Amino acid sequence: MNRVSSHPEDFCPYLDRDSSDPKYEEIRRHLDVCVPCHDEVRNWQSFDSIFRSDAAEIEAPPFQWQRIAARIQPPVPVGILARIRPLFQPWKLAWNVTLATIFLGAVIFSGIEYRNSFEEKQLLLAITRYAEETGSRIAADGNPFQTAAAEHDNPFARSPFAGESKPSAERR
Amino acid sequence: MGDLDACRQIHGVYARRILNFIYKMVGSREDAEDILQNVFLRAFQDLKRLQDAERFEPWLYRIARNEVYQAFRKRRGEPVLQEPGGTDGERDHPEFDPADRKPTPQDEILHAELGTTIRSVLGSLPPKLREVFVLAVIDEKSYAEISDIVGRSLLSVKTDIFRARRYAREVLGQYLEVQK
Repeated sequence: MNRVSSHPEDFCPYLDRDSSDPKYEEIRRHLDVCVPCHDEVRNWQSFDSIFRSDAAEIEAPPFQWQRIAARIQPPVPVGILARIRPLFQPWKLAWNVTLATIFLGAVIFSGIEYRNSFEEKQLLLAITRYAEETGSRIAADGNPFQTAAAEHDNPFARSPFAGESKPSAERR
Repeated sequence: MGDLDACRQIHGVYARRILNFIYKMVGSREDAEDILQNVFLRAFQDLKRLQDAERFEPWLYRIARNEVYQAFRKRRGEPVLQEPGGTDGERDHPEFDPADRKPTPQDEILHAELGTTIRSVLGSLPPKLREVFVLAVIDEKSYAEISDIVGRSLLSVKTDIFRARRYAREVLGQYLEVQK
């Protein structure tokens, strides 16, 4: 190793701090006694330090992580899809179906009630009109509906055709 | 995709050094930032494939190296180093410790020139030598780590590092001569 400075590759294990290389210790011991090689190594080390200078270093862009995070997260649905998607979570779906069933039941029931009430009024009106036409009198003290209904059940009870065998032919 | 917070921490620890490795390979800050983003996206996607967590850093460097070579192929040629000025020039200013004296304009110019010189010298190296030079001399990786990252034998890596050092020193000498 007397002329190690003419073979600078021999310094590489030392420059790169590769202590596992068998030459590392050899070079280190040699540098303790050889001034030219010591100077040569110092030159190489200063050369390396130029490249380690932070002059050529840059910082990571400040918002890069946000951009990466946006790419690795599942995309958030937008618009109408985003608003309705939570409704389809299992427990919310069950709750919504229950509410919808109750609402629908209430609507149907109230519709039936309204229809019954309407038909009842129509019937009462028809009976009243019939009673007026036929001259029947609604009992003043009784339930007009019952009275009229009783007449409606037997429309010929007070009619001029009571007792006739074929009232239907006359009505036609 | 894994825990987002863990990914953020990984990014915080490795982003700067991987970015600088890429930057020294491609020579353009904009390209380096784009490549860095792809590196982390790929790393987080493939993280489950990583068998040994202790080899994460070499694995990340390997992804970065692959992305760099992919960028070279897309570019169909050698990377062209950017000259100082514009965004790069603004960011080349060093960060001084509070204990340091305040840099004079002359210091800043010299520092910027040094950054330009370093990039020029690195840009003149062939990519095969440049990558081992950056990893060994600048990032101070061991031969074994470099061999793992670049996928070449230990002997090949040692030889390439020596060749890169000699070549870079020669180019730097020429560059400094021209500067004089």
